[in-house]
Amino acid sequence: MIPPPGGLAMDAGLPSTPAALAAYIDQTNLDLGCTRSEIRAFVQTAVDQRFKAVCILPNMVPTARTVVRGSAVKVATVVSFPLGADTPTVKAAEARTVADMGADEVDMVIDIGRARAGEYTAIREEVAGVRGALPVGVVLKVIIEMPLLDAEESVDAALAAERGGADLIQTSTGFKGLSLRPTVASDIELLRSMLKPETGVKASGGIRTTEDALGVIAAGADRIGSSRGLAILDGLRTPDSGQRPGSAGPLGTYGPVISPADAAGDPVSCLASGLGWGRTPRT
Amino acid sequence: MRDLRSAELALSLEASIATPAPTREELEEFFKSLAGWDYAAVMVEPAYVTSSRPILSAMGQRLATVIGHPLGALTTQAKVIQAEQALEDGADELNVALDVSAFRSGDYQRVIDDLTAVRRLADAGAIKVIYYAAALTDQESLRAAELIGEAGITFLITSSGFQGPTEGHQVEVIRARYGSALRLMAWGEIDSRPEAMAMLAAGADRVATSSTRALLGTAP
Repeated sequence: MIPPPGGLAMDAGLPSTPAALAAYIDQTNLDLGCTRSEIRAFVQTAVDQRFKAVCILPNMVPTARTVVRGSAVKVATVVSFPLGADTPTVKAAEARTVADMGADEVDMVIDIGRARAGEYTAIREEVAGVRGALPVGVVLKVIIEMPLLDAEESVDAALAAERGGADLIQTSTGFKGLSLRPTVASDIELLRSMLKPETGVKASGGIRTTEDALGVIAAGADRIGSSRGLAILDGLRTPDSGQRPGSAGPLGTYGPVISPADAAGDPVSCLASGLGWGRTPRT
Repeated sequence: MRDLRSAELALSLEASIATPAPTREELEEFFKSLAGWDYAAVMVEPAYVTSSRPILSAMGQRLATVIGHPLGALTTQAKVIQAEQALEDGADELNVALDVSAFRSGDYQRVIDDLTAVRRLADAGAIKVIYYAAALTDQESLRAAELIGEAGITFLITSSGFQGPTEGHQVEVIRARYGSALRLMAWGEIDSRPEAMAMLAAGADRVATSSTRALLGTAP
């Protein structure tokens, strides 16, 4: 049972202000079919809120790059997302193309089928291939899709990715066709207990509230990926701590303010019909 | 439309596995489950083309794979690299996702150039384009079909399979405008025989499904 954010935030080491929490978050929009202007607005909001990074689809890297200019916000994108079922050669080539366009960080998906089959050497090699294709300094996060793996497979896949050169191990794609459950604190504790201290852990997939975020940070997460970054920050907002974009003035109350994610800025979907994530996995 | 015999229906199906992120073993079991009929094609993800090719060749089945799937958001350069590798690995058909962000941004030339770069790699007949009907209005779907045609491609796919159910109306809109000048595959939650028959009745040439057994019954 996770205590309310007010209580959790008192714990040593946990972020207690929106700005401190924003430094953990990759504000993410991997929706199907967003226009360039929708992505520009999304990235600008992330810059205003000083998130750690924006995570957007590969064809939006140049657009994001121009908006973050002059800020500390990093541009992250995805490789072999969300299915991970590309050859190692193609993954490395994809990584090189996004780095060439100016991505600071790359979130790649492993070949999940091979992890399920216990082929961890192949996982290490595909990660090493991507690592080798990236310029020094580009951060490599490796998504192992824990919702499709058991604990032992998760650990073995994470260790293989670490040996292949991952900077951070990431829990999930959050893609509904694959991710049958959200990331939970125990996923983070498991990874944290097995990985080297210098290897980071990124929690992603179903992290939607301040409580979710502080819970995974307490469990050891270094980074959070979420499309609900603004809603996550809301729980720590006070009249002095800075405003949600679009809000009219200082919030009237201290303490957690939980607002609907779509009230002011988190992209629920770029497509009016709410498409983008569907029910049934294919191929 | 009269009900087809299973053998005839199978010839209109593009079959894929239902299990997400299958192991090679699960994929081979799936191929075994297909025995007994000839299909339009069997669809596998790019990483599995090499290992699937000899098995599907022995079964006499065509092999289709996906490019830029399911979000259509790769750079053109990455799509080309992915397509080149898939063809080299033995794919007969490429299901290529349209850059729907460029399309919705009104950058039509970019949509055409992106598809043309992939189409140049193979016979036009080997390329099908996913145009995300469920994300577009009828008017936009027709515009997308026009751009796909400008790229020299005449085989459309309604969806990546991840955007909810495909509807007969989506097929009819394209069919009404283009008649037999375009071919069309319906993809998206077609899991029963009546659903597949409805798509064919609406004018689809092909139906993608990961429920082949439910559609066809037990093999002869």
